[in-house]
Amino acid sequence: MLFNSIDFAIFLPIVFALFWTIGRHSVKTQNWLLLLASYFFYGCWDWRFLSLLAFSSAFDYFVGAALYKEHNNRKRKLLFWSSVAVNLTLLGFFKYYNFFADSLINAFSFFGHPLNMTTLQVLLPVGISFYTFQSMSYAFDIYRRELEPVKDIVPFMTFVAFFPHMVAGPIQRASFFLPQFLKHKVFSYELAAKGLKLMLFGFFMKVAIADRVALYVNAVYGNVDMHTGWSYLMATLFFAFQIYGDFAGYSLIAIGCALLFGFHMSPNFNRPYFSGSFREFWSRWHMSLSTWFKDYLYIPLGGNRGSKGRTYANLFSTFVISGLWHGANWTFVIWGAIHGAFQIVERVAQELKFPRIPRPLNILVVFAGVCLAWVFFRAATVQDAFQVIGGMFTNLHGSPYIGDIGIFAFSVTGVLVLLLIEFFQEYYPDTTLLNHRWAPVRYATMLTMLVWIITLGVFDGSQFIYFQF
Amino acid sequence: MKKLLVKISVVLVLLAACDMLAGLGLDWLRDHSPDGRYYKTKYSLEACNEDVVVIGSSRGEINYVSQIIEDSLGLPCWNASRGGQGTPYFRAIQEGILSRYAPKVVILNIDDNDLETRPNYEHAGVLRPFYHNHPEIRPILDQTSKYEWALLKSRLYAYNSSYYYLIRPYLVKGLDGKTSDKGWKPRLDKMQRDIGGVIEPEPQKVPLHPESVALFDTLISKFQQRGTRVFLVVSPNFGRSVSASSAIEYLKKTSQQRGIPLFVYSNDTAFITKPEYFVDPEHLNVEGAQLFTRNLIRQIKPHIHPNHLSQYDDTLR
Repeated sequence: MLFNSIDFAIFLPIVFALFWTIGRHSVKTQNWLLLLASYFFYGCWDWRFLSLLAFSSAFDYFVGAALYKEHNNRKRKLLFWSSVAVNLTLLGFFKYYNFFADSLINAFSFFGHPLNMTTLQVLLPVGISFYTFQSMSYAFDIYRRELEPVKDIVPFMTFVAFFPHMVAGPIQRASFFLPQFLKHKVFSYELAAKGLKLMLFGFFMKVAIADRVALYVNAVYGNVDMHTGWSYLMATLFFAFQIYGDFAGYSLIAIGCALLFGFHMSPNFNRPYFSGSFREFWSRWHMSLSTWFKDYLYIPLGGNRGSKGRTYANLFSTFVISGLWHGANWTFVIWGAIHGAFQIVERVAQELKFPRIPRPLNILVVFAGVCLAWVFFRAATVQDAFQVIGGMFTNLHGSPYIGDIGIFAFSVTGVLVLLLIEFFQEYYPDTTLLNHRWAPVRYATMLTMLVWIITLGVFDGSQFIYFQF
Repeated sequence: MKKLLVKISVVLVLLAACDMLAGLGLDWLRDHSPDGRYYKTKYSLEACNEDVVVIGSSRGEINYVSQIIEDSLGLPCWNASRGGQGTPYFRAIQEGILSRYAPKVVILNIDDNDLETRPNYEHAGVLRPFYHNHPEIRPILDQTSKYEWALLKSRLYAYNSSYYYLIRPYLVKGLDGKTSDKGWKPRLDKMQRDIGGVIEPEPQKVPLHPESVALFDTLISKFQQRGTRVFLVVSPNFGRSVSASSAIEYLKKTSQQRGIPLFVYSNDTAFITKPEYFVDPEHLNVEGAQLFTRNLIRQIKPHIHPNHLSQYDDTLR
């Protein structure tokens, strides 16, 4: 079930009504309701993978309980690593088995030694990268004694499976999010209204921006041989807004949806294309994943506590692993590596005290770098990505592919409107129209967005890009 | 909770009002369009009464010159084809036409791979603005998505993504063909590409898509049941010879079984090796379209000799 589907438009009000009627008297009922609703939501994709979700959650719940009771450091370590091993094995098998098997076969063939190895048609359970990371963070936090385990398994399983964020985040830290499942929720008009507004803006970003520009992006990236440099540039620029609109839109819907039930989630995006450095970009883009990797990978690896070389190596490997987390394809690995390299170059430039350039110029440079890396993220193969990048610099003749001029015009308009909204949010936060102090302005804004979504949105039930990760 | 429900209701009522008002304006734009896509679809569904109707995709729209057909056959002709469309759109237009009258002749342009892919109902979504006034096309449009019938309660949704083509004819006339062209969309340019007479080999066979085949069969049957003489035509593509695709073989079989003449131009070297007749590899330019239409009508004419039309229209005897 997708957020941008009629099924969800039926599902959500039903769950909302049940939660605040039969569920309003006890936290236990509220959790049970959310758990059942979440498993139903997930089961709509493929009910067979519900057992995987249940197993992953239950395993971490019991490991968490055992970790807390255990005082022997060796045994604690063993328990902790068992959680890591089980979760990563699940992730590794379902997401990466074929990738590594294919890579191995290709490598051996390249050196003239064909390898006879079986690849399996492994189905990727939706959201496995997100819920395993979320579940793992529980064991991590208890191991580091930052969290006490929950006594009841239901709130924990609800925390992992909570439908607004289960399949594509934002990844919530157990120490922040889990305690919310232990408190009885009382309806708040302010929270619900805020949630609905966030959802509205999220739908606008997804349906009216991301899915609209996707039509152009898919036409170019789906057939790179047929296009030239201008089209590559245009498609890559559009892709930057497609993926932003898609994922930030999804995150806003998820956060807004959680607020309807009284849950607060940490934000996931903060106008990343207004970043003046790559470091800043990663503090504004997919924030929940960035902090997860920082806290559970970069810092345990040694962070910046060692030599400069060690710090750079930690940084680079964190980004490469983050790339691999996104997808079982070398394109994602290279995407991660490029961002790792950007971070290192930026740090070196800072250490060498390079002269500062004006912030608007910095924003443009960072945006250009991010777009360059997006080529690898979007391209189907590494070869395609190099063809696109090469074409951007050498094949700039003729005019760009426009396709359907109506679609193109709506895409450009949508992107410009999004940029304008974000510009005001960034530099004039008091002027946001959706939360304006005058009710007529708020209503007019809501209506304009709804009308825009209905009239210019794409209603082909397209998937959210991050569901595949 | 009550406050939230009241405010949601206020927004929904305002939205419904906007939807209704905007719908009135958009309907007016659709109904008064001087030419262009919406004019053409509206005319095809509601007003055309020509004896000869051409139905097809962009190839149908660009390759068939209505005036030549009209002059050669002595029967009025309307080209109801539309770019980017396939069998679902053809079926909807057929329903619109047959709900009013049965044309004497229908020339159906079928692409050489038309029946090999799933019918593209989503593309037929361009008919959404006509959903309310045309119950006969609803079953086809309802196939575009599970909840299409519900979404189409909104007038704004019915016009989703249509504004550019809805407003354009008011600003620039004749971009999609003049009304005097009777549905034909002439393309003036010449293709700047020569292949030195070398044509692509026959593509690999792809299995037929049963849903597409069923839809195509319905299309043919419905016309035949109403006594319309159907002609099947496969247009030429530049630099590509196709004579034995699964779709063409199926068309040949249908042609024999149902007694429908079939004219395959997709392997005709008088066209497929001549860049001067094309505007792009898939569409003929004005010169090519005129030549193609003349050739086609020369082949069709014997089939609609008054004797052959006897069962359809005695007045032509």
